[in-house]
Amino acid sequence: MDAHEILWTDTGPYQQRYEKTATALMAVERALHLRRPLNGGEDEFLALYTCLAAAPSETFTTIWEDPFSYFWTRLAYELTGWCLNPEPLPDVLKAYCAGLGTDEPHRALALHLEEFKKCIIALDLISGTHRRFDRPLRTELPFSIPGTSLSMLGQGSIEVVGSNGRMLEVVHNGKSLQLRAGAAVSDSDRPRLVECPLLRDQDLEIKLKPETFNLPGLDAARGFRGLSENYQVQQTELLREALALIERHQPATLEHMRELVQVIAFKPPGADEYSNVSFSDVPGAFILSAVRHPYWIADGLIHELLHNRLFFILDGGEILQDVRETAERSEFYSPWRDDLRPLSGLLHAVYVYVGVGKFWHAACASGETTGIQRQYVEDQAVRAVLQLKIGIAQLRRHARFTESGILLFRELERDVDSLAASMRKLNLSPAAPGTTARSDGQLVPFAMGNDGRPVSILYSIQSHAEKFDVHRQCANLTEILNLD
Amino acid sequence: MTKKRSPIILEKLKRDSAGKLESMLAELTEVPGKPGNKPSRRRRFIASGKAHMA
Repeated sequence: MDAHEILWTDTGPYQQRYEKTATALMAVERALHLRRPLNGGEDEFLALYTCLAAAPSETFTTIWEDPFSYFWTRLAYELTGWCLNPEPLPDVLKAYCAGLGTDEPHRALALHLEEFKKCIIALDLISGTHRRFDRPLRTELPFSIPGTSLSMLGQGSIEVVGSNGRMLEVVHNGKSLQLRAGAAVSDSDRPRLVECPLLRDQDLEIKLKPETFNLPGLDAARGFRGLSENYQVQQTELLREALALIERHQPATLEHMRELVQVIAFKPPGADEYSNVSFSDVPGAFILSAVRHPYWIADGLIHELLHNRLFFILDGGEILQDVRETAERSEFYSPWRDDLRPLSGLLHAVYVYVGVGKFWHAACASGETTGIQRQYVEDQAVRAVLQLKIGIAQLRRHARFTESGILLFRELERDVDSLAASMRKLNLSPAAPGTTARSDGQLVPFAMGNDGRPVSILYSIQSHAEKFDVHRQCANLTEILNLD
Repeated sequence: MTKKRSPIILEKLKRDSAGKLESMLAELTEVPGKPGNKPSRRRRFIASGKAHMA
């Protein structure tokens, strides 16, 4: 397979990663069965594992490809390993244990095995099975039921006792309740089973389900606090418009979205410190700021899809050397960020902006926009090229690549060269006025210069480097940009 | 959902990925600090856009 296929077209890594995760699940089950680190505390999990493993393969796969299942399995693997062979804990695992309310490894594993019951709840709701757990699942609301469009909403803690056909039996504030999907409740704090909005567009089906991110150790769910239950459904038209743009300008991306993206959650643009975010531990899901501009959203969709795709590619083999967890330092200038980044962050940025840049160039070539919209599209097309040249220069100078990574990096260099050639062909100029989208979706000048006129795209790139390239890694910026 | 991927069949996977399963099991149950392809050590990554919006 050539480098272009690996980076942009091959869908094999999706299947491979889900299979690898299922293999890890089997390894966890066998390790717990053989070694019993919880002295019988793992028995209910082992019995429930057997139920899930015996499910029809389509049902198992539906549950297994939910972002929650990867998250759960990876942590189950690490916690099991930690209990059997104690080693210093990575920070992420410490945060997860703290989220569970303990720093004791065996207690953390016991609590984590309980969370597997969310997969069993999904299985029971899909298959209409009656079941009572030996121990109720005690967890925090809201939570997503993996592999389904259902979430349990509400506030505080809840005990899920079992399922009764299509209903869940729960205890909330000492009161027993039976929850059926869609049943109305008067108090928004009360537990209830709801269907999330689904966006269906031809073969694409995406759940708009913020509860997916309500996981111990992840603070991403902060951005959803206080949102109305209608907030997600209110974004579907915006999402549809953005998907139509992608279909027009980068149709191959839709194929990958169909294969890979399960969940999107929208948040208000001002909520939390990030705009959009993807997590390697929650694959197939991402959070987008609902900036009311379809081109901005299309850019965000492609961007986050490609972060997710790169997670899958890297799971099959690293591109960079020396990027083990905790081994990297954030010390490199990135033209996309105000903070210094690790090389793996720069690699992610270069990869996603090549894809995003191709979208903007196609939008420019179509000539479908005029006025400030055209100015914005041109800004993004030019900005992508200039920033990519800096990103490539940083990686070329500072990164050490694996054997296969050398070939993939060369392909990325060729991609950036092609975009630079496209910029010339489209007659786009770095001297054009910089234009940006405000959080309310209004398009405005990037910044105003001392002369009271909008600064150019090139000037905004140079100013960023001047301010944030604190180690002067790109002191030869003119040479890097090579704009003659 | 009409994905092109095949469903995951655990029994088949157990046969086809026997080597990988054994190596994961060994990693979980055997001597700590053994080098190799350790999924548990693979880097996590949070890709967040912190670029300022106007």
